[in-house]
Amino acid sequence: MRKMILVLRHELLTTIRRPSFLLVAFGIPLLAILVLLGVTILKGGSSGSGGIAPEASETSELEVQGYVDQAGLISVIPQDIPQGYLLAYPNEDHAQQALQAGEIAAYFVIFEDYIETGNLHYIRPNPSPFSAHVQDSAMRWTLLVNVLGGNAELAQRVIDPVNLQVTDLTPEPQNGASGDHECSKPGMTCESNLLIRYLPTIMLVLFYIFILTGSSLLLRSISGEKESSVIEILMLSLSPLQILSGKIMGLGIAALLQMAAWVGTVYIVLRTGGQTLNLPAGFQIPPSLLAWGLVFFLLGYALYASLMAGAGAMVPKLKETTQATWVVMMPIMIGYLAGLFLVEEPHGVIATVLSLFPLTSPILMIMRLTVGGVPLWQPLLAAGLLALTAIIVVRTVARMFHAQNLLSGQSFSAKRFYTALLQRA
Amino acid sequence: MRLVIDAVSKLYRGRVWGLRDFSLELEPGVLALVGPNGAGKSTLMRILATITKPTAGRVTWNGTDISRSPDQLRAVLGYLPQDFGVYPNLNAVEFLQYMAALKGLPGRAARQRIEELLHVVNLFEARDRPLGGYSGGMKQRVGIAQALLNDPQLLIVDEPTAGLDPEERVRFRNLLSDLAGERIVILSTHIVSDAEAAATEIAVINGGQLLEHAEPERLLQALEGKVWQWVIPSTELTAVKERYLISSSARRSDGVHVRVVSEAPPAPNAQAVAPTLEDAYLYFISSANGSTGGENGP
Repeated sequence: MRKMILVLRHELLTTIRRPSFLLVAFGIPLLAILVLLGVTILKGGSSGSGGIAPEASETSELEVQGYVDQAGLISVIPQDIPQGYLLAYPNEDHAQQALQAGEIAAYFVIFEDYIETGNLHYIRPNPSPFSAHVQDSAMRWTLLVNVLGGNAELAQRVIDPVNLQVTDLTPEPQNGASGDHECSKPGMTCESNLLIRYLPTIMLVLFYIFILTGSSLLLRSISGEKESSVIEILMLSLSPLQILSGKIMGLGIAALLQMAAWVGTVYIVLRTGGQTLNLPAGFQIPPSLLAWGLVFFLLGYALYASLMAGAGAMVPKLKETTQATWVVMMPIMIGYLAGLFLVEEPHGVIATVLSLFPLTSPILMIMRLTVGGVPLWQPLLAAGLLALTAIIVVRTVARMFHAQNLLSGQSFSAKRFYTALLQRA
Repeated sequence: MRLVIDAVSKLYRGRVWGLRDFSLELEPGVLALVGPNGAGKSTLMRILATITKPTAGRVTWNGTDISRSPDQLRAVLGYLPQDFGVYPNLNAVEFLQYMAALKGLPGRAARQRIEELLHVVNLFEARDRPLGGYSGGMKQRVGIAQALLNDPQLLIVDEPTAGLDPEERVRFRNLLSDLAGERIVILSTHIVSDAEAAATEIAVINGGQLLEHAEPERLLQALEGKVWQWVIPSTELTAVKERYLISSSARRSDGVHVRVVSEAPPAPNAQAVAPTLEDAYLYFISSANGSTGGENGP
């Protein structure tokens, strides 16, 4: 056990100190956050054109705007709009002067025939490409309240006429990140937001990358030690199982760190960048999805990392690892490609079967769980099958992990790999 | 301290013999195992290092069969494999600390031993540099340092000078000579000058079989009166090559100075010269191959 921990520690420390690992694990997420930050700054933190009352968090970022009410419609500014955010001007000349003086960021002209036509004119100085949208939620809300005689409660009911409560008679589904409660937000639907719409695909891609990169670390580690003959020295002090388990766990923790950094970034982006990304208020990734993600990542990693270790034992040189990667990762690659198409029909027969099949479930079940509506028994069954397969593969590969393979200079081939795997199973 | 290799054979897939009925007894000193590439040196080294097991025969360390009880030998074994590489991102101290921990050396003793060895292999000044930036010779010295961590009684170094430049080779050979003391050192090489510089015994191996095992002096004595040198016109060189086992040839202003191994004088003007281990190596390898280089060969 002590020696296995030594291997674990060594693998973890050497991996996380590698510049390429640091770049992929932390550099890319950092870049994503910086890009989001940049976009947020350039957009000036303005809200979208939802047509709803601005949330308390949004009001602090509202620009002061003016209006010229030619229709004589606005008699009251709703209470939830902070005082001084909407300023009335008697005519356009006054509004124009205020705009030039920098007192307001823009102004609206409400035409006389507004009730008949809905026509409004929005005047603003030099918009940047990143803030081409109109910050009109406060004006929309004000108009609606005034059209309804100044009754804000009635206006709220017009926006959100139904307080729907659903009783589902089927077993309780797993809530996806884009579940119904998100889609029912006033003025916002799932289809209206690209990020939410593509979140299942994003999760599919992310988990594919996590498992691929995590298990590739193991292949490179073993084939590197084999090529440099260090494996011969290790074999004098360690049993094959100690080497294998120490590496799987050490590199697994490294891969987990990478996953945490990436998922954490997605989480931060969704939490803090909601306005910039035009996400519905209150949007968040359900904790149950994060928990399932951890389970499927760990089991998927254990399965594919073991297979990669078996391949690594049979690869004589580092440069032959590409071929080995293809051979080992073929099932999950097929699952990944299938997932890109199946995301449109996530609960069909093919998607369900592939999300239960152990070689593809680590990514496809996560995709389906992100969509939502998956009965609880399905991820439980998929995780059970995956765990069972991972245990069988780890034990099989440990038997492949002996001197005959580790010292062999024979070229890697798919036939040789699968023959050895099946012989030891 | 006694290592006995008793009729050891190793059969690989495809019915290829790596070793065949190989026997040898070793006591403290430096044994140079010389032979061409593919002779079976690394196979023997891996069996002695308990990494692989023989197909037949047995190896005993102080009377204990190392295949059945490898731990007794492993505790006193230092091993430097062929084509040894390192972890490029670690420095020498980190690498040696990892190896020491795997060998079970306690922390404080390990730190002392590492510092001592870094001085021995002349890498103390470079100890904090990443190993990826080391030269081939420096990496080999790190390799020998890891092999010496547990102050081994049996030190096995497999082709340690392959790929090194002449200066590094000399430095490494001197290091091996210094290390020989109250321990058994087995040095495998296909470079005879390495053996010449460091060995107290030489074993010639080819085709997985032991051809000769003796002290260098005795190997040289076996060739007394069988090494000849004379000068020929360059036009005759091809014909001489076909008839005799040429040890060396050098073109000079007066013709080609040819050195051959032959039972009888190859020419009336040929002079008997003192044999070298290179001559002896060629003699035994050629004898085993049955190609003696000519009618007057061994």
